[in-house]
Amino acid sequence: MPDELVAVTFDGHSLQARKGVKLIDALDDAGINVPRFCYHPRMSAVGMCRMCLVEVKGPRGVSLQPSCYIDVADGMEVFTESDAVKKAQHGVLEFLLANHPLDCPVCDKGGECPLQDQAFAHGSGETRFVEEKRHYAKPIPISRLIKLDRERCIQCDRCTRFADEVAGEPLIDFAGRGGTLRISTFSNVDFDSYFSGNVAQICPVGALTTTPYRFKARPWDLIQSASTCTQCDMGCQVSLQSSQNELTRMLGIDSDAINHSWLCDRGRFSTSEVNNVEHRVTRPRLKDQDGTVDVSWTKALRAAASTIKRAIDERGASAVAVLSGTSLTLEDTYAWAKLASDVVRTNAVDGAADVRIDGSLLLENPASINEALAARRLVLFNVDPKNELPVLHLRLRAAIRAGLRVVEVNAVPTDLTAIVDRWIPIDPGNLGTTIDSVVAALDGDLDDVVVMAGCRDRALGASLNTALLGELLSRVPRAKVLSGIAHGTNALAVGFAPSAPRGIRSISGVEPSMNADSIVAAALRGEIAVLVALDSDLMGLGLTEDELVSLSERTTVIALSSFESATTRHATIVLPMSAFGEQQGSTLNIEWRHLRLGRQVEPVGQARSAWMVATELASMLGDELGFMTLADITRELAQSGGILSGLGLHYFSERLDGPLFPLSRKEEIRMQRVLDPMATPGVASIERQGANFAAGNVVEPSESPGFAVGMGETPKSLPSAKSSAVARVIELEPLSEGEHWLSLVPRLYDSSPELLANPFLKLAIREPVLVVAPAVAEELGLEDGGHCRLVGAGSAEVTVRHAKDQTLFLALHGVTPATQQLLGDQSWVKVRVEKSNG
Amino acid sequence: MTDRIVGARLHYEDSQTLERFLATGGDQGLRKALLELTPQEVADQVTTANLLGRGGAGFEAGRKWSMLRKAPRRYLVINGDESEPATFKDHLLVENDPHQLVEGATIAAYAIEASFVVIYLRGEFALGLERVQQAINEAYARNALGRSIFGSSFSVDIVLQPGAGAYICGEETSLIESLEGKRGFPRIKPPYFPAVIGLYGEPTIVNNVETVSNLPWIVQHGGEAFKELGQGRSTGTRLFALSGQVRRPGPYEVEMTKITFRDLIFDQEYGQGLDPGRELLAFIPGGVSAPWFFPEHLDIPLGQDEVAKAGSMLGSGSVIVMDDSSCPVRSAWRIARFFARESCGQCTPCREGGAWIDKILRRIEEGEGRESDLDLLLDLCDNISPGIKWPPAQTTICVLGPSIPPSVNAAIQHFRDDFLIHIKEGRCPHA
Amino acid sequence: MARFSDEMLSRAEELVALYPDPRSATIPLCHLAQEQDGYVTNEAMAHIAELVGSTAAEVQGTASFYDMLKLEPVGRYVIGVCTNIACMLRGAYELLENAEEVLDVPVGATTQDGLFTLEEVECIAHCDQAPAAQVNYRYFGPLDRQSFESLVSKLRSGELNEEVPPHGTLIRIRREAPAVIPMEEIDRNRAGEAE
Ligand SMILES: Cc1cc2nc3c(=O)[nH]c(=O)nc-3n(C[C@H](O)[C@H](O)[C@H](O)COP(=O)(O)O)c2cc1C
Ligand code: SF4
Ligand code: FES
Repeated sequence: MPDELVAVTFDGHSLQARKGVKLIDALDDAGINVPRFCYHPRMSAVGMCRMCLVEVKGPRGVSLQPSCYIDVADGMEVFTESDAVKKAQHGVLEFLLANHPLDCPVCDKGGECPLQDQAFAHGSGETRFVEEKRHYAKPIPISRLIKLDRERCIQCDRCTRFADEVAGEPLIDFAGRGGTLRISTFSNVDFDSYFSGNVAQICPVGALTTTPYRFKARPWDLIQSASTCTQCDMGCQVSLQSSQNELTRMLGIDSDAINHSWLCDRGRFSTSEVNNVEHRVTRPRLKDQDGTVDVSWTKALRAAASTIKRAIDERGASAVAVLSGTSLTLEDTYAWAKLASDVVRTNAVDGAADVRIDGSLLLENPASINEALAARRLVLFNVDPKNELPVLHLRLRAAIRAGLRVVEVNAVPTDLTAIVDRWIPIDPGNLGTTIDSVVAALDGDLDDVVVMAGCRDRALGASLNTALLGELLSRVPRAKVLSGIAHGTNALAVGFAPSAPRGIRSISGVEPSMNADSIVAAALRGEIAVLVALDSDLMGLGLTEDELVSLSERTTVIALSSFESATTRHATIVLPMSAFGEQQGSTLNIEWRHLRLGRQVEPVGQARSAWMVATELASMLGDELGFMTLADITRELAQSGGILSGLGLHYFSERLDGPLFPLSRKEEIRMQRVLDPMATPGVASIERQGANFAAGNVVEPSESPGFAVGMGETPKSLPSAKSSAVARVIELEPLSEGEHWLSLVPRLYDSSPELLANPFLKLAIREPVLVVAPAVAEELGLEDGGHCRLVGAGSAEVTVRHAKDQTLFLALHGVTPATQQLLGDQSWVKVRVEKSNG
Repeated sequence: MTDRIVGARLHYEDSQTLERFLATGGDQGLRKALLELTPQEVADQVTTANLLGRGGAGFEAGRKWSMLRKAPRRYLVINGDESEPATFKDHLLVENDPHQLVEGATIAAYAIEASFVVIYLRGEFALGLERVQQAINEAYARNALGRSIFGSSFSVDIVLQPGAGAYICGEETSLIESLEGKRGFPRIKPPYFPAVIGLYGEPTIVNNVETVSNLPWIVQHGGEAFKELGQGRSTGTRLFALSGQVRRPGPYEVEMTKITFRDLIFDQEYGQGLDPGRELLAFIPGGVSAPWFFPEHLDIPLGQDEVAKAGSMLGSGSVIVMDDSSCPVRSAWRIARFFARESCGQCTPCREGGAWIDKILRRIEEGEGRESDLDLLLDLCDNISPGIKWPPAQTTICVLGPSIPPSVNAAIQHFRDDFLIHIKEGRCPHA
Repeated sequence: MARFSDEMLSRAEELVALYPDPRSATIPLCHLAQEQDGYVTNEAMAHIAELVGSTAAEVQGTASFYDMLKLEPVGRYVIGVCTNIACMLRGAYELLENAEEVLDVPVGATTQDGLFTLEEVECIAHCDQAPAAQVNYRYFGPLDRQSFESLVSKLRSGELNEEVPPHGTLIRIRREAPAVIPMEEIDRNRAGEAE
């Protein structure tokens, strides 16, 4: 819907402005920049700093008004350059500087500080304030990640508004009044939030800084490029910054389609793990009888190729398995998919181990994030946005505040449950009625429904999850689907996983049919000769370390990895892989949007991109993948006839985030701000610095007009997923004496090799916690804070916490190698509880 | 003290008791309103009376009620936060005639069809809070509150809310924030009136204690009778709070416009003049936010428009008298210091400017001033309230900020020599 | 004993029930906590947050805004001498100096025996009795050195116990009326009438 326009007069010029926007935004549109500190376009206006005053003509003459707060109106006459405006702005600036320390040279914000910029541009140069300034204790940590310097604070309410309004976690707030108004956390309680880094990004002065970035670099030394955070498949747009070949900082870019400038801490601070060379695999190495030796790439690859070749020759292609983690780029994933299917010709391939859902359901009628948030009804099916796609949680909160009606379907409540319209429990004892309840909760409003579908609960088997979703989609046939899988979209899109949508692949060869679980099981039985772990820690698949050791005695494990892990410790051949920020490429997010990845620093040591390794391995195996550059891969995908038909890098020259795939999808493109010009004025915008996307990699130099309306080919029609999904949900076998249903849900900070490599975030990792209903706790004699042992397919020792409300399950929060061992291949995991002696 | 309307009961020793209340016409107004008049008719009487708000802004109560946004749920909040320096009339009314306040609040609730009423009293009024709560309890007990009051179809609850010590919470939107459990940050305008978006986002009327204390009388005697008192827009009586350097400070209920400041300060019936041998230096006609008056203003009558025309305001009805033994620099400083302490801290000009002005004035008072400080002070005032005019323009959200300049400006303009003696000689000419 | 005691908790719950939104009880509950412990303790703020559904940081944010709510221990009697304009014009600063001497503490401090905290306060609306002072928000004035001394000794001796309850004073205020009328009922009545 195009914006309605109204006629306005700005500084004597008759113009048109978008109706209903804040005057400050209308002035921005007109190229008139009014100084500001408290205003943030993604939060409600508070009009606190008073910097944005302009003169507005009203019925009683001209008066000063905060342009950030008043709406633009038809016939509005505004003056931004009058003497009165200049004097008022000058006055506010002087007031702000009165108590502000003059320590710019040692302030982290120096060089990108709007207060400093304003003072330079408009300050009088000499101070009339001869009194004693306010004093506070100098930087105090308000969490492990954030430090607060109250003397520099200008009380703009940005951080506090963010915590309250955006994150819904008002853990920092103002304290005091008047001249003593200051930011504060509750005594000794940390600002403990997944989203804490945002407050440092939006702080317009140096009052809030992040511990990882403090004193690391000066803004003018930074180089930056546009990239995409790959910690989950939300695809948050970022400015990736470095200094002297080290990643220094990541800032959220305001992409209207995706992250609205926010990032979660997992993503924002992921640069710290990339920099942590101690935890990185830096050179190829081989293990033989004499131990581990560093070798050249050629030697390592030759060894890999010969073992693979021998395995194929002696035991058949299926004896070679490839398991992939989820941090590979689209190009990496495609190269390996092609290697596995066309060269090795194995069906034992899974690049989306966590996806326990039929990917076909996700792609049949896809919705974008913005469509989902604008739908009349959104069904959240087995997803926990806060822990799986954190920034989506923020977007959802904002949408719910603005009136979005949400029905949540989950075994265990999430942090959104309190604010959604309806919560429908998935009850293993009563599965048959789940979907009836969901449909009933839609109140017959079935026309504009988006279902966001995921596989949050690890205890729910793929078949059951798919069956439930399939039934829901067949009951709400016009529903669109937004994928809610946190990792693995690239693998699904190129057919590099058994859960990939059927029929999208055009790579000739073998389709994956063994999934990660069956591959691991086969390996443990000795049926796999070579197991390639692509940035994947096998410990994350439910193996104990003992099992891993015995597996690696019978199976040659080839680990291509950025980070050291149990798998690299026990692997026979270890190959260093470049990490986030070290390589060019692209990726897809949950809405199947194509997003760029920037290379900002050189890979550490001898690390290489996974796609290059794949091409070299192919040629050592006597075959060719057929590409020499990333552009070759892009071109091949573009012509593949799959959902990525029409893929190209030229889109990125028009906007930071790319188009939705398949290209036939329509999308209205909104204006976007790159970096909040207020908080980071000194850092040149990404656009000015250039995208740092090497020209040689661009396939067709920007020849396409845009991508609003169906560009490119619609993919050949896919077989309907719904029809093939199980129509009716299976009944589960009831519990026997002493058994309990288990729910296993991930948290953002669950141990993984990358997180353990992060010196800041690893401190946030917590032990898994078993949440039990008070009645069950009493029955089992489990004390709050005590321990117990759960016995399922394997067993795990866990800490107990009593739930506030009744819950149907034993809800285990925290996915770790130990808790993964509880899972078997049942439709729904059952466990027994043993009191532990500990 | 003239006992006319709101103060009619005050000369009784036991004016706060239910017995005295009922023996002196208590409940009559409420009964008449509920049993004989429609809500609209009550509102019409108030409009006819032209009852001006007694909280400071002097807005017509009837007109304010008529601006109430149509919505199923409406709230009424009685503002008893009285913290404007030298204002003590509401203190008197809540302690000494709490039943009249509850009756008035109930009538107002009926007139605007409110679902829920809060009486927000300044937290420091411990005795007043006790007495108003008792009056509320007794009202419930005799069905003057609660379900189907006096057998009518009107039901309403009144809750008493204590403040906790913050002047700004007298500002109506700040009061509402405070009532919602938050710090008292005034809300940004627009919307200009809580009648559009108020408590819990619903339309809300905020009325001062004295304003609603007039309602029982108005309903009983009719709006016309009220309007006959006073003249022009200033109708009825007002409870003026006289303080400072007069011989008999106190609350005086007088018919509006019928006496002058000279009468109030010097008459035997009222202030009884200054201490022997003293001359009048200045007086403030309506609370410390108002521009000062000087001896030449003594013959202005106590009327809203009359005072406004002379460049100040009647405000909260508190008149502060300064004789020539007082130091205007010190008075200006003490007033500025009050605002600096009471700024909520949202707006940069008020938060930083108030504190800065306080520091400069104190420095001058202590003999450490510089001549350039005077221009600096005026310029800082100008940055808070451009033009330093009356009524003030503002660079802030609420008018607390623009309340700082009037005293500073008045003192500098009128007593520049006093300032210069402080600055040059390091002494006070009045000491 | 810093969370609400059982008795205080039931008072607290009564207060919460008075409002359409529990958060409105934040300030009354802070007063209540202060009367229990003499000041609003951290534990009390955390308890209040639970009762009204906010975070402790928010309760702290609210409490720290208001002068009457003390976040640090104070004396049994908080004596506030008003020095605002009306009192100042009638000798408030002299009274304050006298008070410092009589109590032998500077403004802002608490006597060693923990009995008195001396404060300088803004106008308390007792200006016709200037210079005025409040003791636990009970008002006295006009005061000179002599009458101030005698006030202090009466407080010491317990003579004023009835008039000036220790640690705040709002505990005496209790709504006795029946439970609040559900607002929906009032809305319904009105809707019915309109028809
Ligand atoms: C800084 C400031 C303080 C105020 N303090 C009070 C007050 O203590 N009592 C009061 O009734 N009104 C006070 N007001 C005025 C109120 O905002 C509001 O106008 C008044 O309560 C409305 O009641 P009325 O229309 O009956 O006068 C104050 C206004 C401002 C700007
Ligand atoms: S003018 Fe002062 S008191 Fe009023 S809102 Fe602004 S900072 Fe607060
Ligand atoms: S008041 Fe408008 S940007 Fe701060």
